[in-house]
Amino acid sequence: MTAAAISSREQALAGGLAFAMHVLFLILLVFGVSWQHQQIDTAVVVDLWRDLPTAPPVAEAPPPPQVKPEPPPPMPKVEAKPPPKPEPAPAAKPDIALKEKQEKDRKLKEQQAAEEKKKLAAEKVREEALQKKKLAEAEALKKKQAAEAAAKSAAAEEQKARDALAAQQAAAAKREMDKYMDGIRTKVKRFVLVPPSLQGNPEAEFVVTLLPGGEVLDVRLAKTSGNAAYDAAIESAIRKAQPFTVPAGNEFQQYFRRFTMAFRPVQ
Amino acid sequence: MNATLAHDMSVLSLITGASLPVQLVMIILLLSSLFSWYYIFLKIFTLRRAERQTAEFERQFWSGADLKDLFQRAVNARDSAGSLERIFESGFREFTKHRREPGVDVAALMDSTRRAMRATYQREMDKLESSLSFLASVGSVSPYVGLLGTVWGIMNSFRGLANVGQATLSHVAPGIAEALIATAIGLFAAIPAVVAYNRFAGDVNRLAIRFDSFTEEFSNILQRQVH
Repeated sequence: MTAAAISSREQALAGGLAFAMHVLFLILLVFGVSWQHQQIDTAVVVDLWRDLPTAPPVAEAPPPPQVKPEPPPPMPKVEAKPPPKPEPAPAAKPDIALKEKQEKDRKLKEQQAAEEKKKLAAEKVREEALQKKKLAEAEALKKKQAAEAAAKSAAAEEQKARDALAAQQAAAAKREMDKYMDGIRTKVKRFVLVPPSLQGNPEAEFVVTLLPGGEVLDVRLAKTSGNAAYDAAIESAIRKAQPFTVPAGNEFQQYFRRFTMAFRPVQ
Repeated sequence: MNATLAHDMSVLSLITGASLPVQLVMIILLLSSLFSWYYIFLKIFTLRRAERQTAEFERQFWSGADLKDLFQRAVNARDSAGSLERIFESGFREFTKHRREPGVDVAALMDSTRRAMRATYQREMDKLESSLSFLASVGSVSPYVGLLGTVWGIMNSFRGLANVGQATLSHVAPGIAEALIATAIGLFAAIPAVVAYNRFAGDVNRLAIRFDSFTEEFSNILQRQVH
């Protein structure tokens, strides 16, 4: 066999072996790691809930009440009546000069009186019209005020209803949060080892700060039970019991980011 | 949250989930690993053959066979001859050629013979040492290439972390695991290459010493023949 044939055979063999080596390593790696993955999967912590907290109701803000401003009542048209035409004084026949003069005087007087009368009448008419107009205006104002008052009371009622709804929702949310709280308390209680030196039923208060995943970030003693061993037991129990089941999003920020929890050995 | 916790951590998903530069680094490392293993196997075969041939020729040479017979055999089987056989052939050819010339100086004759053997020795050594430098560079460079992929992947995963308000371990861990695969592949390529390089360099060195000592001894034998 020539050297060239030998070396080409060796090259092919080397290539095949190198490839087989990599396939072998890949298989080992894949199976090795996925086996570990399954091992991890088998250890699962389960929380038992008697009644699952429902999803928080999506608070739907009621649409703002649309108060339609009623069009103001049409102003009554006040038509100024044209002043009545003064009746011309009946022409007196002039008999005599005096008489004429008297007549003239009288006529003048009459004319003056008539003019006065005419003036008075016009004044009266104008006054009447003014009165009427004022009355109408007052009426309109009254109507408008009534409408405004009605709208105001409607809005107040709406606000009241909204407040009531919000309060109801808040109460419902609070109930849900209490469920979560009870879950946390129950979970912690499982880990508490009550020290034998404890006497009575003292209460210890803790301020717990959580991360959104339910992990404990910080536990601080807010009020001691008077027994340091019991305090320490609860603190370590809180740390051991994590992660807690907590709601997500706003509810978490509002109720579970930082909360105070009281513990008693017997409750 | 649950999506990240339920992250599939098998190797295949880690590789397919990596970013493009990291995948590129992985492909480069995989290719260099393939080639280095190819050369490792090739070198194992070549060196084993060279050792076998050297041992066989030494046995024939020192068993007192006629030099002319040995030379004839080496010329006939030139294709499948070993390195030592070739050194012997070139030296003996030069020696017989020069010896026929009238009035040749012994020192000059031995010098030219030695030069011829030296030249063949260099050629053979070059053949034996070929692609050892490739193994050396794979062994020294691929950890750095893998590290580059890892650094890039971790950079990416931390940049993604900047968008998350609340950073937890489950946000960072998959990205870092993905990135660390690159280092793992780099080490996987480098370790066999380094081990093989050291081993082969030692083997070639031992062969070189054997060739050297043979050259010296053969020169002595030839020099004795002149007188």
